Amino acid sequence: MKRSSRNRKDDKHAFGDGSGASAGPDETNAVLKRLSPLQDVPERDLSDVQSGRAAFMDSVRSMPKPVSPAFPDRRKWWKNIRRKERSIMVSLVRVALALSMALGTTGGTVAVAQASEPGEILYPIKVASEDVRLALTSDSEKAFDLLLEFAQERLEEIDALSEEGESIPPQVTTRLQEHFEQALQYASEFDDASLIQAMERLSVMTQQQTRVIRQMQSQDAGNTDEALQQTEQIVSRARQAAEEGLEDPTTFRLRHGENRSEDTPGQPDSLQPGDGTPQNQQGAGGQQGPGNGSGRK
Amino acid sequence: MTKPHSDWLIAARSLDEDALEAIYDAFSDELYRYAYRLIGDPLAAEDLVAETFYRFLRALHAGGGPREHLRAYLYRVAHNLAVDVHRRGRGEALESSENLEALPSEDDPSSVAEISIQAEEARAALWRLTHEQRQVIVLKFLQGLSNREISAVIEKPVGAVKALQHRGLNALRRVFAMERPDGRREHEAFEQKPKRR
Repeated sequence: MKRSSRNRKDDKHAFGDGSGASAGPDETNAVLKRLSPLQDVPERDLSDVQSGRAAFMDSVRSMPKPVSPAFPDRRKWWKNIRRKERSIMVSLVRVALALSMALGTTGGTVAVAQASEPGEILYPIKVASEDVRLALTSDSEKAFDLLLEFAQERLEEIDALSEEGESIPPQVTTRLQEHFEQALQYASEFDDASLIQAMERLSVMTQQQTRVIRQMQSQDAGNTDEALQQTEQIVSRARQAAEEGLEDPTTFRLRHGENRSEDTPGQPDSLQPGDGTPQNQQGAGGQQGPGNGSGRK
Repeated sequence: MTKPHSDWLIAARSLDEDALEAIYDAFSDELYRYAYRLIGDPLAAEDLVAETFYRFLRALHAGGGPREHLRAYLYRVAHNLAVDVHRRGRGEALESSENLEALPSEDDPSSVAEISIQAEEARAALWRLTHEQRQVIVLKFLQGLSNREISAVIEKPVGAVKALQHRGLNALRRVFAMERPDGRREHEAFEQKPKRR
């Protein structure tokens, strides 16, 4: 394999176009000079190129026609209401919110509660309002979007608590896990096209969340260590599920679909918590990513 | 390229072989360079290109994939895969041996080794940027994309691309300034933490 003579013939804007550098031309040029060794890219091995291309075209030719019709929306709206034990007070708040939202008379309290953090007096209202919003959403894709939004909100709450050196209540991580599980359950009802798009979104989102969590861990003073580890595992499992949805929608639906029985023999095992390494996955290679043995190279 | 990408995409949606072949030929080299610049390993870069196109094909088959901005879509997939590879440490593990193996025999070994070390330092600096800063810097200054093209890749306005470019360059300047003479860094964590609203 030879090293190319810069290989920049197609990189027409690369280096020295004088754009974008507001740190001063000299400083910018110094930075770009430090990056310039990356312009060198080895020429591709011809046999690798040819085999890669041939494998891709083989995949094109062997790609079967789509056969999975869209799953009917079997979900009943009332199933969206979570069945966990709740305190009487929270239940009352929930009913009151549902009534007020249904009647269009929601006051400013709910809006104010949205900025509250775990442990604050308005936080139960924030949580209850989320449940009501979800319960009032009949469209599966909108519910999926909403759950990802809630999951992001939980992450931001955890981030805020971690930054302030406060402990993270277990309810927050539990709820984060529930958001992901519910989102995956909704996604299992999508047709293939929607599922792919949803899982791509979830994959990107959880990658970003993982980076933020690791940053929190690096700055953690010790108060939130265990909770952050748990949070990382929850996000990691969601990401693995997204990868699985991209790789094998059928297995994904079996695993996350509403009718799945945990004890049914022959179904994939639950994913294990960990650092992002898929465990017990079915299929060749059992793992997403380059060189996963899918015969394309 | 004689045929507009949108025409390719329309044909590719019906899994047209000619269109998919043309797309592969048009973008595979470019994606390889992108992958190599990020992970520094020729074999992993080839794998990454293969996986990018396979995911593209699978998305098309499922009725998904890009509606427009084909090139941006491919870059996005490739970058996500590169992040995976980097996170798993494959790039770092294979870096030194692969690079030396790839060197031309007629070059002076000491200068070749020096270039290889400099490339690795530059790559390490890139990985200390945020996800989007890194994308913007590599696409702009190494891949040669325009701001408008980059905005399609990261799905943000051109103004945001410029801001990321500015912050990315400043961050790199600080990273390089923090390097000690022995090549080690004064601080490990560099990524900027997003602020809560």
